Amino acid sequence: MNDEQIIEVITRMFREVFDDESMVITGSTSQEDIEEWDSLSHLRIILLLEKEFGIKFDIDRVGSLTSVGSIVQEVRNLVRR
Amino acid sequence: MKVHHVGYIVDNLANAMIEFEKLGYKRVGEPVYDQVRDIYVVFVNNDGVMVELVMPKSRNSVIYKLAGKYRNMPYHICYETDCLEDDIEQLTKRGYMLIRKPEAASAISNNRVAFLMHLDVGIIELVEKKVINYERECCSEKGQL
Repeated sequence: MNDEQIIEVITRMFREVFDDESMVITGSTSQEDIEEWDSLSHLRIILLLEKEFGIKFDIDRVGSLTSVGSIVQEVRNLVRR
Repeated sequence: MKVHHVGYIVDNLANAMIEFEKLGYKRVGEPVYDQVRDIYVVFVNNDGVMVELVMPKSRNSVIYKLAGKYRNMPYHICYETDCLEDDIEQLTKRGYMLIRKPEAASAISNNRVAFLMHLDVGIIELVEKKVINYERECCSEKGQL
């Protein structure tokens, strides 16, 4: 799975969590760009990704995943394991 | 799992205590300051139903943003556990994510607690069962409440 495909999945997650079907996500999208992206919605996104990819995030790293690019990288690393 | 308490974010702890008492709750001990989470906590009980009223002290609090968003609302249910690590392991296998590792909770006699989250359940807390004594020292900064 390449980065574009991962972003497609993440976009689906964001649209579900933020209830916005028109939401456009890129690798450079960060928490500063989305006002509703708070700690609780962040955890929901992480849980959805865990379910989708069958992976487990390291809770010590979850807080630092503040951009879509960093989430993509983390997902890619976890899927490879 | 046996419910220990319901966690309830409040905007103003002193005012909330007054209103909960009007609803029939009785205060269990005095408010305490939990330095680890930077929150003020007090337990109230209504006929066996324990509610934990929680107010962030500052912006550094782990629940500061939650409190700003949800104001006065329940936000987790806490369950008793005989073995924190065993239950965390079982729950994470069932789709829960550990969002706050085990640490002592000063508001519950320093019993260890951990927080987890599930997509279909939301946030839960686990508290390690041991002799639970709600009589504890008053918060030294109670005057600020």
